[in-house]
Amino acid sequence: MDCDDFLNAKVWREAGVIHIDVSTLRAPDPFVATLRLVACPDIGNEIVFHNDREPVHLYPELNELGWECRTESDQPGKFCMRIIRNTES
Amino acid sequence: MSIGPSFLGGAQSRLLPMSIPFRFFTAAAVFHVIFWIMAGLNADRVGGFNEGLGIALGTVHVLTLGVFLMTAIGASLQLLPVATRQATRAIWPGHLVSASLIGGTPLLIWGMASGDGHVALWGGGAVSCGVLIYVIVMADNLVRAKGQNSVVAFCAAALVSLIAVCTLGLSLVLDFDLGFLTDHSSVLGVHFVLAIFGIMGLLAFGFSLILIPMFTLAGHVPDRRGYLILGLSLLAITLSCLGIAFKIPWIIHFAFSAGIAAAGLYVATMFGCLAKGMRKRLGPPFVLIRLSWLILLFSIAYGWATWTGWIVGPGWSIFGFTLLVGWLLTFVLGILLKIVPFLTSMHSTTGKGSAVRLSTLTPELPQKILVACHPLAIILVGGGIYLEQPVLVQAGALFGSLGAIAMLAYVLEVMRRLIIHQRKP
Repeated sequence: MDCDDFLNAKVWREAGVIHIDVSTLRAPDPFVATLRLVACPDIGNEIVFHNDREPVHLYPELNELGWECRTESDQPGKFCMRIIRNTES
Repeated sequence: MSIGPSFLGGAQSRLLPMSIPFRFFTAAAVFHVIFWIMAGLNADRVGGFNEGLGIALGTVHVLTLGVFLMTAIGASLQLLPVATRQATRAIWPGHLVSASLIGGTPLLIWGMASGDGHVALWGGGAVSCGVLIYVIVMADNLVRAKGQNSVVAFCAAALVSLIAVCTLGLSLVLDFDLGFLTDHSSVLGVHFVLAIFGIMGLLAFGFSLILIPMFTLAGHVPDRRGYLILGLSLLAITLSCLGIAFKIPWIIHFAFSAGIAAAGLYVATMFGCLAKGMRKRLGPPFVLIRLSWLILLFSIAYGWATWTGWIVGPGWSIFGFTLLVGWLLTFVLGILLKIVPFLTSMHSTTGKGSAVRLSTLTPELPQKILVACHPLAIILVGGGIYLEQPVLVQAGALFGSLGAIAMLAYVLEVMRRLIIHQRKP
């Protein structure tokens, strides 16, 4: 697993939680970078995802991998959601 | 897994109602079955699609309009707005397009197969109306596109080809009754090139630039590479059309060389995505997708060899068959296997907020049957055309029909699983 190549997505840790901002990337890189991140070990059970729009194509894959998504804010040009590992699955 | 009510709340407003893409996919799966049955029942005439109205021409259009165009429209109506970051303005044009196309295509095919030019004309008119509305909807979306420039350019070029193909197709159907075209066969040749390479080829190449890196988890294909593939493709298409229209043989050689360069660059780019991609287990759909890329290269090389006279026998029939069935049908089936459960999953939230998993939606057995039967069908039918043995064509069509029934079962089973999931308390 290549855990240092997130295709120029901005990845940082804030208050112990990993954030990823893919808003400057072109398709399909937001999709790919996010799935690369969730496949990395030691990222914890929660990720905060930032984009300029809702990532509709990510939901089936995150769902399949056992992650749950909860929208935090959805405004024109700015979308934020919390991706939470489903520990029951 | 429990998903909050907001899981797809905004996304669903950006997605078309599931019934719109799925009516196209279901129609494509039904026409796929019809195609193989028609091919099997008319095994001795399957290579004669360039001989005017008749069963062979009808069979080819079952594939091109019934399977390819239905899939392309269903997928692009759903995927393009997401790729361009621009929502479709209204849903009703999608209903109109589906009514015109799904209603008009059987009429057109019946008219062609039975030799009834008037019925074909009515069907062609309905199909053209649907295509026109689709072109307007897509053009409106492309004009507002943000980013994805090479993909947008591929789609724009395909839309121009679509208009040209419809116009030429209607002229050809009218010409059967009125006889106004001075060179029917040249118009037919240009219609064929634009339909196969101008519409489906460009859409397949363009959408691959997003879909293949997405499925393999590779990074995006650089725009420069996309534009180079597009430029070579457009050069090949333009030179082919000029060579056929003005009967200039040497131009066709340049067209084939540009075509093989475009296809080679595209296939190398796609295999590069597979090599760079994080996901290595790609499953049955990619067996078909990989096979389609190899057959694309083979068919263009075979067509070129036929043009230069190196190959004797039914060279053009093999060229047409490998392009339509070997490359495009195989590619379309592989993509459908991937996107049908994927799009269904995006639509699968219920009022209670649970989403169904991709693995739950994906039926394994029909995939395996299709992936086993379809390549066998290609080998047997291709061999049958080459050796002029209708019995081989019939055997191949039998395997093709089994694969097609499995594909139809796959689409229906995905929908059945979704309905079961949505009915859960």
